[in-house]
Amino acid sequence: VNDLVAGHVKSALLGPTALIPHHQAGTIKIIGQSSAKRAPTLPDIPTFGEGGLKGVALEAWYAAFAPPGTPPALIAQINAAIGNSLTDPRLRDAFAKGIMEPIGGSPEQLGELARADSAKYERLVRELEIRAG
Amino acid sequence: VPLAPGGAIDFVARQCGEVMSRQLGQQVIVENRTGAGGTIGMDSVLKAEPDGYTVLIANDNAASAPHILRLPHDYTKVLLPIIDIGHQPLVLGVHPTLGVNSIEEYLAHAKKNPAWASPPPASARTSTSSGPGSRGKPGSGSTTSPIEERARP
Repeated sequence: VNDLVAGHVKSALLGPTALIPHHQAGTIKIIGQSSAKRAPTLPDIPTFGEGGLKGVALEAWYAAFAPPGTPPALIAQINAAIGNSLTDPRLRDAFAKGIMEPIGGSPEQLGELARADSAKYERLVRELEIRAG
Repeated sequence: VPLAPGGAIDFVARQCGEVMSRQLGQQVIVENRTGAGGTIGMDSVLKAEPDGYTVLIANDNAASAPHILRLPHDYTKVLLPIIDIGHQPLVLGVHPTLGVNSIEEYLAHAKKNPAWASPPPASARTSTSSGPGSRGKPGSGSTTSPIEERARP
């Protein structure tokens, strides 16, 4: 973010929270968002697809996981506790300000998303020959 | 929380933890166990007691890190999913001096200036794109790793 604001890098794909104040101040310009549809918290920013960059849609997700061996009854209990927290008005307000869309749902739904993303990244790392460092 | 305080994982953990403490009448403690792009914290949850008292809050790095870093395990296959908490788009930000105001203009700029689509400085290699057209050259360093700690407050 600092390198972008200073102009050392001319463009960067980043999380939205730290960039929004700079966008509002005019020190940087946000020209697109990566999700398939405009996020409810970023209604004025066009998606990459709308801007003509087709086939590029990705979303960062934030989720809870338990250690291997955690009994299903405990998983269900924690799922309910975290799920309930997502209905709290103050939390929803803070999430909106942080450009974070509350999701919730079942452990199975998260499992499907996480495994699908893992398969996607496995393919991308192989096809683009991505290496760390 | 496998990344530092102030980031987006920390943000969702503390928001949920605060509400849960209130709703459950039991203190939820957020612990940041950072290092190695989040893998130290994620690994520690792999080995934690499965007693319901330890919960990992992670982001999609849990799905990408195993492949990028060639880890011996895939977190999405060994950790047990509990709940999807929040989603966030990434945004493409440009510096005003680039003179680009839309994705269309950005793509046109990249086509006109192939040299511009070059690797970013090392200090900025944190989910940083170097422009379309920069990928597909293995070893050029242009395929930056999304695994380094991301500042997403």
